[in-house]
Amino acid sequence: MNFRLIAKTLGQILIFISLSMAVALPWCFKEEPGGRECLNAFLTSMLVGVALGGGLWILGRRASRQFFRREGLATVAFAWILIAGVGALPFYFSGFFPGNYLDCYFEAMSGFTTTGATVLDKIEPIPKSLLFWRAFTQWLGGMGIIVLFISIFPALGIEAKHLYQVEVPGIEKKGIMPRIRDTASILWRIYLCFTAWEIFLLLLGGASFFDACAHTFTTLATGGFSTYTASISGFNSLYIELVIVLFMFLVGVNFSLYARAFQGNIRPLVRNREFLTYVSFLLGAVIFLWISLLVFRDYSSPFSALRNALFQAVSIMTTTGYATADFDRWNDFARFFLLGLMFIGGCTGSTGGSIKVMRIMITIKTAGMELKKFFFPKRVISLKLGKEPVEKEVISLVFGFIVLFIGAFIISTFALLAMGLDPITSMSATIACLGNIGPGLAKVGPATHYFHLPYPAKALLSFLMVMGRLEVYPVLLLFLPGFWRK
Amino acid sequence: MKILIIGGGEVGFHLAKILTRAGHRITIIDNSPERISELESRLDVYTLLGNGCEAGVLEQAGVFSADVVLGVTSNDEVNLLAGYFAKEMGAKRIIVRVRDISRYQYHRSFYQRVLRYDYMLSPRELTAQVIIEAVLGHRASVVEDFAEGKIQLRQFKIPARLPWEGKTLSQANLPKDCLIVALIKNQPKREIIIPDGSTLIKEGDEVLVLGSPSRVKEIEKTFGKSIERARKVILVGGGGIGLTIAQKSEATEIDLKLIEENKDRADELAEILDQTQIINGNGTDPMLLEELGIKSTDLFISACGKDEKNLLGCQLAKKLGAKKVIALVENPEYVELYQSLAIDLAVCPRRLLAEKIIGFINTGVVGSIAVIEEGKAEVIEMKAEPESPITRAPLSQVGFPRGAIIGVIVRDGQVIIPAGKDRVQPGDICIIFSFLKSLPQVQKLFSPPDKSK
Repeated sequence: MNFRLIAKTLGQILIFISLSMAVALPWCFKEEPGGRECLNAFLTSMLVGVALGGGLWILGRRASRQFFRREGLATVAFAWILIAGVGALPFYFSGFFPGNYLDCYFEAMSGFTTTGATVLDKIEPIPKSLLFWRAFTQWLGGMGIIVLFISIFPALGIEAKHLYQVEVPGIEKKGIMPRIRDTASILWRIYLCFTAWEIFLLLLGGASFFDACAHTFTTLATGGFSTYTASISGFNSLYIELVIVLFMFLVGVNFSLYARAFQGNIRPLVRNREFLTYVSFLLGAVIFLWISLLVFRDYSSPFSALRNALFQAVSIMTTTGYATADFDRWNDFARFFLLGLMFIGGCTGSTGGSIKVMRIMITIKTAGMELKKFFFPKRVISLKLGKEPVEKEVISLVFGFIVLFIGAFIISTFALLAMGLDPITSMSATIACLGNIGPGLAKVGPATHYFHLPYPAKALLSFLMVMGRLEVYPVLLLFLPGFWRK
Repeated sequence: MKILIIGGGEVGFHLAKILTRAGHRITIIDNSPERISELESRLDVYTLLGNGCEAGVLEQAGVFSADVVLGVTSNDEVNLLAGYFAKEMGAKRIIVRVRDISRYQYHRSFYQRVLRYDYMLSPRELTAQVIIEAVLGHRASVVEDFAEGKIQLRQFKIPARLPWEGKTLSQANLPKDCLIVALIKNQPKREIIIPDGSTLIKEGDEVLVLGSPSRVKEIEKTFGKSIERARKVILVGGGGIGLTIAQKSEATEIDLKLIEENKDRADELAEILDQTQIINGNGTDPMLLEELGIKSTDLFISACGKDEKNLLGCQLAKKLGAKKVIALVENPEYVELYQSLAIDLAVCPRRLLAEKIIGFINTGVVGSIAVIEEGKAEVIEMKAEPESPITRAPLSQVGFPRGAIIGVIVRDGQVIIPAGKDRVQPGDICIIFSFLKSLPQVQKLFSPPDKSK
């Protein structure tokens, strides 16, 4: 393991993150209480972050260029753990956050991993600069900090590729351009396009510039932090809800399909099996939810039932975690239906989290295939998505992932139960963090928050968030003794 | 630059590795899934599984916008056909690798016209060239052929007690039809200059001479008797490279003994070669080597297909008293290692090929090039395109950059040493010495006017 090079890269990433805090500085000069404290908090955090990063950089200044997959895995996993540590500093230094540093760390990790679980009871009293940074962490984490880092720092060669492959979610980890740097920069450019577009549409709907930016950041990342305690219902505007639904839907699609579409080839997008399945899952979810809301009389008018079903279904399945209704007070079918949706997530290569549509498709198809083989063992079937055969290694990777994911879910649920939480809270908090969704049910429902959980639970959930964001393997490897051995 | 490499074997891999470091955008096509995943995990490139001869695969690889396409699979036909398709589909420049260039030699212009490649290279040929130069032991440390061998570039060191010593260039009586294009001063510090008539030549300086091979040879004679030649050579391995070396040395006064293990191959070699002594035996057999007079051998070359055998043979020969040993290396990664194992020269065909191709890509010059002083300057072969700026006025008026000089013009097979009043005509091939910074200007002068503007 080339520790020096890992340290150097980590140092660079930390400095990069610390400097990016500058985006929140203009909001410190707003006429509101706490501006001065926030300015001080941000400047101190930047200083600490740069010092930490610089220290790591110096530690690794004489690093050799040997960089393999193993180093890539370690770098990315550590990077995410450290970034949240630095990103939490402004919250901590400002003094506006409840609790101690761990609460701030939980909030920052929830930001970068685009989870959207919060420890804040009331959001409006928090100064704008802190809220802006909180939303911005999601925006950075959505497309990927490492991916942004790669597209900005030209000095990386094959290292960039290893880093990219660890951070980008999904199965097909090949870039779309000859150089991984170009792939990264295309992805970010598409992301920026979406950003500008959504800010514009939200401004058009009457949102303030601050709200438009903050919500755009957290929509596109499928994050879910809002600047209102009441989340999107704080706007009380059908137009804004629809714009946000549209963008939540859009960023749940594989970005490389957009890259192709931008290059003038729209066919791969509309023919893509995963995309079509994603669309049909969403439609199905909305319809089921709508019917259940009507049958159990949660809403009297079919229109408001549809409006709430649509928003909640899209928000939960894309792992965003906004709310326009307190869905924890819906009927039990709807509640657990949403809990089920949390396991699905967006497409591979999107900013959404959780298991992802492609893996679900492969699992279901494999199960179907085994069923056919069961009564006629001599039959030879090749697993295909559309017309593309799926390789055996891919299938076993998918199964490995699902086993680890569900395993993590079960173990963590038991751990939370052992900490004295009720079953529904334990289960929903686990999947809401592991799947990077945010709100769960019962005590962590959309109308409440995570602050009241015991500290060990918050630490465990922070860990689940990063595990979910990096798709389990890289984070678990850190605990494998063989991974560190020379 | 966008570069498409067809064939992800060792040559393709080595090329991609160097080219990605230089910041080029690389796509590699290979037909083996294992190789693809290997390349994918070790290089920052885009990979594509498929046959490089299929139009669909080429299209997917974005061949229409490729600046350079390199056909470097182990199959000549695949390379040539893929190169042809690539050109048809809009790729700018095509370089193909072939196993044995002599198959194409006599109809070279025919193949080039029909198959539309820009440059054909053979690792075997390149290797044989490098080895034969070592065998001939020219004092010139650089020997390059230009314009299909009509022009030669040599680098000489000015020895002591030479008639030229202390004279200016115009006073020195140079043979006609050749030109000193550059002077490398060793005192007080090493620097390259483009000389004029008043430049002084001193002992220890080095000169780059350009001219027809016979004239250059005359100059070589002027430099005198001190030329050392490796007269007694033992060559192990009668494969393609061994045979090419032997053929090239047939015309010289070298006493070459070729050891070939396989009886049938040895018979075959004996049929092809006249001057060379063919010995059927094992190149790593100490008794045999002693019997062949290894003690008085100037040069021992091991060029069989196995790295271990070459290495072992060379070390054995060195121990038994050979003055200099040259080993062939298959794996490009081992070249540096060999130098620390007392091998005087390690020659790697794939690496040579890669170096040649990279020189070609970096300069954007059609025709062979020689790199002088680790890339500070280059000697290039340029063809004057119709309507290019260089053809519009006499040389003294076209604004030729100061850091470059036209050494020779080849027009219809005639060699011309140009003066300021001469005019370059479309279709002329010019051999130019240029410093790196002046290269873009030179290229501009020779390219046709940009119609898009």
